[in-house]
Amino acid sequence: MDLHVIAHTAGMVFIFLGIVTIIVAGIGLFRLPDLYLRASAVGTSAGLGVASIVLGVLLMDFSWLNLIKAAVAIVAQLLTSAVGSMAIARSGYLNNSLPAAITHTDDLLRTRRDYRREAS
Amino acid sequence: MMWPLRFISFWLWYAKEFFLANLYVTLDVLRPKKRMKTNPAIIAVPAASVSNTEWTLISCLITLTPGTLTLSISREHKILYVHGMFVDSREQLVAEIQEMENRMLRALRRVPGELARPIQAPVVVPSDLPEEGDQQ
Amino acid sequence: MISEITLEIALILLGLGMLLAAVRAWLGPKITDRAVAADLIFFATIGFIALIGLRTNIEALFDIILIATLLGFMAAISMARLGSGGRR
Repeated sequence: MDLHVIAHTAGMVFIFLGIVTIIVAGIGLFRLPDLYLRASAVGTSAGLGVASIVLGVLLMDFSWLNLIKAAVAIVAQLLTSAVGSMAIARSGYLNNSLPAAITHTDDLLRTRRDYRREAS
Repeated sequence: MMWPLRFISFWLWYAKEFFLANLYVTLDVLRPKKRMKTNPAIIAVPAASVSNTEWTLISCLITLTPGTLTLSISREHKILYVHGMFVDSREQLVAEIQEMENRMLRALRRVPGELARPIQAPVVVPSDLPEEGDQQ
Repeated sequence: MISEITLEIALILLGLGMLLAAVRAWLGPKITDRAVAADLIFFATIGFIALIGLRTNIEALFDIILIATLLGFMAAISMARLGSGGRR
């Protein structure tokens, strides 16, 4: 087996792994009950999904310059997706999308400005 | 351990945690409804971070791990509000987050320094003054 | 580079994921649910760009991917701002 074929096959495997992660996140959007759980499910495709597709494409089209670009792209994707999903989840909380009923503890609820009015 | 070694070993440990968390969330989404293990909760976790870098990095790392999500932080009370997907008890999630934070702080700081946390989570009451940037 | 049939299968699967997210963006009861779904559509789009770029053999493929990842951040932040009505 020559190195080219091995890299090609590995690239294919990585690409399909990423695609499966994205589809599972899409299924998770329907199976999970509230915004925060859905954001967690999308987090898998944001991190592992995109990173493994980029890695697979890199293996299929390898050069050292591409390696550097892909590394920067993966790091940028991980950082920005983390900040982005944090911002969306926080804006959901500010926009009164309360967590689903199965959420058994909610410490953040006590810090809301309308909490005292509900309690009294 | 030497500092660069600690730095590298932290990232290796984090990569392992990241893959395991991905696997766990993916499997749980595909599980039939009756056996789904989702048990979500929003927990106030006392934190030991001090500088801007440490606060930003720990909240990013928590959000990046699928299944846990930073919703808000309160720097004056030293609390991270973390939404967890598989939380069986408050202690379990707090231990998980604090282990990650301890490792991160040891990796970032050349000398470990202060790792103390507020022991009792302080009671945070909403302020009556409108928040900064509140446009309503 | 990549065989035609594999590429087609991959693109169809990615399109399926996109379709799921699009339905959720349609149904989503609140604007933040739509924002999460739109985020997923965006990640699938990055996959599309990568695969089609592989097929057409363009030089600047990784530059495009790099810029796409940075643009997704803008979209996420602006949707978050939209959802919370300007509050942070």
